[in-house]
Amino acid sequence: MSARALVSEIAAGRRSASEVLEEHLAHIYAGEPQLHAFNLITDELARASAAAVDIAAKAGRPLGPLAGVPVALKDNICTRGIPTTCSSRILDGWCPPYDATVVSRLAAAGAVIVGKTNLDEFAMGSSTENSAFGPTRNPHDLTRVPGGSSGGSAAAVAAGFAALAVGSDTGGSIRQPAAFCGIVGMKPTYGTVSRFGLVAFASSLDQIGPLAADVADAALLYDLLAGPDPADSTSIRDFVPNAVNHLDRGVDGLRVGVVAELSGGPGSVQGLAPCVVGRTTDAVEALSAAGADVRVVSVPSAVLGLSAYYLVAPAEASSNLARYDGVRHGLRVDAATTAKMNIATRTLGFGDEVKRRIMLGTYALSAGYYDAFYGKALKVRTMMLREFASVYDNVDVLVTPTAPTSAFALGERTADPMKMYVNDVCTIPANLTGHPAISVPFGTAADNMPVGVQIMAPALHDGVTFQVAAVLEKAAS
Amino acid sequence: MIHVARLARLDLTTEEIDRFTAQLSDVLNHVSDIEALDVGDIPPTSHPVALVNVFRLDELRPSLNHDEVLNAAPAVENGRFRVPPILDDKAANDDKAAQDRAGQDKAASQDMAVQDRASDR
Repeated sequence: MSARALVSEIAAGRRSASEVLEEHLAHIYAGEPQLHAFNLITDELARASAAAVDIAAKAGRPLGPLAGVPVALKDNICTRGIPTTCSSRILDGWCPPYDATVVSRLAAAGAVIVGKTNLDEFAMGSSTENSAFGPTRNPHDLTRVPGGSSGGSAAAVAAGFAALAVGSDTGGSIRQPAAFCGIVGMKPTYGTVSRFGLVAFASSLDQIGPLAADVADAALLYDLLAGPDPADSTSIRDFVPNAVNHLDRGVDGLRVGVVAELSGGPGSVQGLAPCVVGRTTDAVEALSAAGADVRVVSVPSAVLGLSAYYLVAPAEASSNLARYDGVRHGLRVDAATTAKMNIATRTLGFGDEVKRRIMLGTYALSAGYYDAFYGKALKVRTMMLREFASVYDNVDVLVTPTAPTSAFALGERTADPMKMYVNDVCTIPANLTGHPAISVPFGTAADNMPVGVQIMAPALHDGVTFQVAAVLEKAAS
Repeated sequence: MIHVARLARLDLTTEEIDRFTAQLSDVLNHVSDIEALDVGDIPPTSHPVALVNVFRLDELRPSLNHDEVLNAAPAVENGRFRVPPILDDKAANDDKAAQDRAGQDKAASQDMAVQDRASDR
C-alpha cells in the first residue's frame, strides 16, 4: 500500500499506525535474513513512535503529513542516541549526539523510522558490496546487487519493508539503486534539502533525497524533506518545494531533450547496454505521444563527467574523512603515541574502497598534481555548467538512462574499481552541476531486471522532474 | 604510493600497495582525458551554488550535550577526549627515521607518477 494510502487510512481511523507497523515488521523479520537491507532494525523505537501516533489520532489531535508511515533511513544520516555506522568499522560503537535535520522533520511529520539501512562504506560505491557488514541483495534476484550506495534503502522499499526510504546521492547513489530495484529515486537540487547530520563524503556533491515505490510517494517525501535550514550554510534560503502540485500537469508542450552523449547517440559514452538504450528510447516516444516536444541535444562535456567526478569526490573525501582519527568517534586501535594510534585506527577501521578513494584524493590534491588533476576537474565542472545552461535555454528537461546496465551479479565488479565507477556515468552530471534528477522505472532489460530512466532539470526546477516521471510511470503501467 | 599513504595516515601491506597501485593506475589512466584537456582560462567551479557568507543572530543557543559527545568517544578523562602521548623518546627517534625515509619515498612516489603518466600515452 502506498504511503499516501497509509496516511489517509490512519487519519480516517480505519487502521492504526501500530497495525501498519506490525505488518511491515513482519515483512522485515521474514525477508531481512535473505536481503540484509538494514544495519539496524529500530523496532522498539518504531513501536513507541507508532503508539504516539495512535494516541494523537484517538485524542483527535492533528496528525503530521506522514503520520504512521514506516520509513527506512540510510545509515549515514545521524540519529541521536542510535548507532550511525556508515557501514564502516571506524564508527563502531558511535552514537551521534544530535539528529539530522531530515530526521527531525520526519519525526515532526509523524513518520515511523523502522531502521538504518545498509550502504557502501561512507557511501563510496555503486553496489552496496563495500559495506563492513556484508552486502545487501536485490529483492528481484538475490544473486544480484541492489545498486548503491543507497542499496539498503532501495531494497527496503522494493521488498515492502518500508513505504518510503531516505538516501543520499553524491554521484548517483539514490538514482542508480532505485533503477536497479525497480523503484523511484530522486536527487534534489543541491541546497534544497538540508545536509545537517548527513555524514560528509563529498560536501559539494552530497544531497539527501527520497526513494519510494511510486512517483507520488516520492513527491510527498520530497516536499517534506526539502526547505531551508539555518543549520546548513549551503541551504537555499527561500526555497519552497512543491513537487506534489506538479504530479498532474502532464507534458503537453513540454520541451524534452535527449542527451546524445549519455544515450547511445553520436559521441556517446561506451558501455550502454542496448536494452537500456531501447527502454530510454521507448520512454522518449511515450513522452512524445503524451504531447512533449522532443529533440536530441548535445552536451559534449558530459563524457568528461566521470573523470571530473573521480577527482573531485575523492579529493573532498580525503579531507572530510581526515576527522576519523580515533579521538572523537567510535573505534580506536591503541598505540604508543597519538600519531601511531591515528594510523593504526584508520588502517583497521577503513575498508579497501575508502582507502582507495582517500589515496586517490590525497594524490590529486598533492603538491605538483593539484593543477593537473583537481584544478582541471573544477574547470570541467564550469564547462558542464555552461553547456547545460545553454541546452536548458531550449529545453525544459533532459532524458538519459539512469545506469548503463541493469543490476549486475554480486562479486562481478568488486575486483576492478574502474568497472564499478563507470556505473555512475549518466548520474554524475547532475551532481557536478547541482541540478535535480529523478530515476523512474521504465520496463525491463533483456535479463528481465528493472530499467530506470533519468529525468534531469535545471537547478531549483525539482518539481518538473516529478511531473515528467509521473507521465512515464503512467505510460509504463 | 607509500608517500601518499603516509600523507593519508594509512599503513598499507605490501600486497595492498601492489593491488592499489594497479587499481589506482587504471583510474589515473581514465582521468587522463581531463589531464590532457586544454581548458584555457575557464574559471574553476568548486561548488554548484554560489556560496555567500551566512550570518546568524549573535545570541546564546544550547550546545551539544557534553556527556553525549564524550560518551561517543573511545577514551575520555576529566571531561575531555583522552589520547596517547603526543611524543615519547622512542617516537621522537621514529619520527626522525620517518623523515629520513620520507626523502627516499618522495623520489619513489615521483617515479610512480612518471610511470602513470607514461602509461597514459
